[in-house]
Amino acid sequence: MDYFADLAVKLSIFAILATSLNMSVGYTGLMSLSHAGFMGVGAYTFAILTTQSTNPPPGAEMFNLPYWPALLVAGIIAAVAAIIVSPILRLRGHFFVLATVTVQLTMVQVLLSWKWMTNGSLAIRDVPRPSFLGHVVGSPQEFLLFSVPVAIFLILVIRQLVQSPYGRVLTTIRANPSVAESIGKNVGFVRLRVFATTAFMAGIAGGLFCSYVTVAAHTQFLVEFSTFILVMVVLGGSGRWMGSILGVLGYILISEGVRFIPGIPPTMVGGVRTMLFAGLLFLAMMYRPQGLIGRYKLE
Amino acid sequence: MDTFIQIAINALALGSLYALLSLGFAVIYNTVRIFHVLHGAAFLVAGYSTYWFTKGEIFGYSPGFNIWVSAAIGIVLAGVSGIVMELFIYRQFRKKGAGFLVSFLGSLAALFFVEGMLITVAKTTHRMARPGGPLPTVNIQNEALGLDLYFTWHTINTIWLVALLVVAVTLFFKYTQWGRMIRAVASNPDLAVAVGINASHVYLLVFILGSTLAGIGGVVQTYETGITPIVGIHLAITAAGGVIIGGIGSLPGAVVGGLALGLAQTLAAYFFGGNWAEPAGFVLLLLVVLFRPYGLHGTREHRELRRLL
Repeated sequence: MDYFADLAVKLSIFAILATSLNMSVGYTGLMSLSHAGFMGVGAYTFAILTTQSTNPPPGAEMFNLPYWPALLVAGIIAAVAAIIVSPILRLRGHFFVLATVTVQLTMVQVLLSWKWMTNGSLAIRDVPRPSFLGHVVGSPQEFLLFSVPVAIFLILVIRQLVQSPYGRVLTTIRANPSVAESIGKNVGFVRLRVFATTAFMAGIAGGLFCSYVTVAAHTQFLVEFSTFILVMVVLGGSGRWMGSILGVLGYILISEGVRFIPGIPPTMVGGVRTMLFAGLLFLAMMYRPQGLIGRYKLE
Repeated sequence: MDTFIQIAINALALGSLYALLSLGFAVIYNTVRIFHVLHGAAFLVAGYSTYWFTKGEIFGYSPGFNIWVSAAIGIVLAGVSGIVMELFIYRQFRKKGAGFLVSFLGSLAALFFVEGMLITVAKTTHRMARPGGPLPTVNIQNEALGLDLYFTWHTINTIWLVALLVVAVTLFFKYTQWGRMIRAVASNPDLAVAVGINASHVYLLVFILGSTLAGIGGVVQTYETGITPIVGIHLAITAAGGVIIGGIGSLPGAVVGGLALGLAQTLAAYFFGGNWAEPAGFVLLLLVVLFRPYGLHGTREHRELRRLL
């Protein structure tokens, strides 16, 4: 039972990631490969702000925020990081993708190198779980009661955004920025807002995630994971918020399924998983670039 | 003074490795116009096969060849990987008329596939194609000039090897029939096809050439410092970064860009510590992309890119 609750918690957290990335990739056409990086920024912010760690990084001792404000600040700091790197939004095409990969690699390196604040490769341990009326959440089932409402709330926000007239502005920007500009939309500013909003949600997801696994380590937020999130969005179908949730379901089914393939020792699971998702993304790009229920083909 | 020269030597050594990768990337990018992240895979193939043929062991079998033999095999295999990439990946994407995003993601997926395969087979452990321990160093001391420099012979060999390769590639492009054909396809594919050049053959040649260059870089690094599967994506981005910094469409630019990245990383490592080397390189790349998108040495044609960016 714990096992399925654990999967459900991951599902809810990844659903936030995938849906928010879909808002930028599928709707606005910002093909970003830096989502895991923003998630990492959020996770580390959360861990630093709330830490009751046995090995607190020196810089973190001045903070001790309660759970929910810290989660909010985690999102805000991730959004600030997005705003700092926002000059890359001027770029188009694969220059933009390259720039986001660069940003992703840089963010992880900074998390790894800024030892004073982040403990470097030692990671921050004992990140607190949420507590309710003095009861600290222990089992995955109890954590579900926290992560699912947050996920549903954020996904509903995204759904409302993309189905409103604002969402049609986003779709127009993806399809043809000049048209959006000619009807008086400030394309640059809309892009910036979308980028920051999605980073905010990634930050919140990061905070939830590291609170769930109770450790913030840079290895959780590598460029591979960015690609996995993109795989969820693209395989599910970009430009459909349901598609991302389908994609997350598929991701969890496959990545857990790998463990039950007979003959694969546990040490190889990570490598096989990477191979499997990379292969899936490759086949999707080759034969079905619009994903399962996608609305349009990638260019 | 001697710190300055020491930094210059280190920057040159690191930069020439990057220059080699960037040169390979540029050879491919300028002609095929594809964002070839899979370039990192050629590096990995060469590095890991060199490691495996000298001292590695897979499934209990270890060839244990001489380092020169394994290096040669590694470089050849990198070239072969170039053929595989062109025939089974990029040509298929071209046939389907895939846009740049699709082929970029396909290329990235293939790179991660190779990486996953290496993680499965060879683990994430750091692998080196030589017995451990430091390489023999050279120490130059001169009281009068106040010099006190340390470097390894490996550094010096890397620098002249790369210089030689750069000259060779430049001459190849300038004076041989095949070099002219590649330049023709690069500057105007339709016209080149119209005058009877077989573009598919040219693409294949370009992939072999570029991947071989990356392979040489892979062998050099595996011998000196060793590699892990995740360096693939990092080096692919660094190679692309060198090309963009130097200026798209220019081979000398790619070399300059690689050297600039090496310098930036060495300076950052000197002033802020080794951890900050890679972020510094990426920051340099971001700054160039933002403020001088046609690069330091971009050709006039590509200055027009500025409008597109």
